[in-house]
Amino acid sequence: MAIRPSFRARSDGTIVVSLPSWIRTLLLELFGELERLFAADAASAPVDPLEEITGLRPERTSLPENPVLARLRPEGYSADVEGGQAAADFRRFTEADLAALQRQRVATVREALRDRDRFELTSASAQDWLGALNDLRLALGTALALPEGEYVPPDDSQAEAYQMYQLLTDLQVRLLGALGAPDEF
Amino acid sequence: MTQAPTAPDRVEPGLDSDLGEVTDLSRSWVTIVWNDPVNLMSYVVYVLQKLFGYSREKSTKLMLDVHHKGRAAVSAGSREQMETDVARLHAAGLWATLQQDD
Repeated sequence: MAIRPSFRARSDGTIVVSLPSWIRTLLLELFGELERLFAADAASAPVDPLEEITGLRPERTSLPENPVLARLRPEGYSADVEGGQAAADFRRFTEADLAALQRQRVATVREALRDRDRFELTSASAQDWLGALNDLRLALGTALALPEGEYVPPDDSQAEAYQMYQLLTDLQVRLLGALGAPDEF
Repeated sequence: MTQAPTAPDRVEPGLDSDLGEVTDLSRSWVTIVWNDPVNLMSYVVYVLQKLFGYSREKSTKLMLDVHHKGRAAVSAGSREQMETDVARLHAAGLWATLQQDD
């Protein structure tokens, strides 16, 4: 049984992942929360009578109110470009694809985590993992609202969330290492 | 890791001297990556290499510009190209916008 997580690259480009059971369980739980946030957002999309006829989902044109979703789906233009119309149009044309990608990545990761502590990633699924881990890290980082370089002391009420955030940092560094990107900064 | 090829129609900011004085409207937009307190430096370098085919050295320099100056122009081109670049950066979790080049 693995004591610490590892991501090991094979010469054929696949990556062997080995996780202690408690980390696998924790990741399933955290990614489950992210999945629920995405699902709730998709379900709360305004109902448009045209949707029933055309099958087209109405798109959102302004920044999501939820701070985590706002960070994961940011504006493409600053508000002063064309009186905000550019940002609204950018969101109208891109957000549905971004949301679908984010949900697919989380589903891929949760599927891999479902019943084994050790499994292989193809190079495509490694990219899904990298993106999903980063989304989850952004979500926790946004919820913690830590200024750059700040840390949370062990007796703080956010200490547990901060430990999870650090665990995600560690996993991302290890995955990046397996992808040939050393942590040298 | 295999490096993705550099897109031939992408002008690297600051390296378009051969365009000289000619104003080319199709290249007057830039993609800006903004500093954020969460994304790892090594991750940002990896993403810039992967998405744009930049060398590790160039990606590192851009990442350090973002880190120290708060922002960096990472690509330049037509408005449509930059919208695509911004969407790809958002998909990677980077905070990016496009704007007209000053």
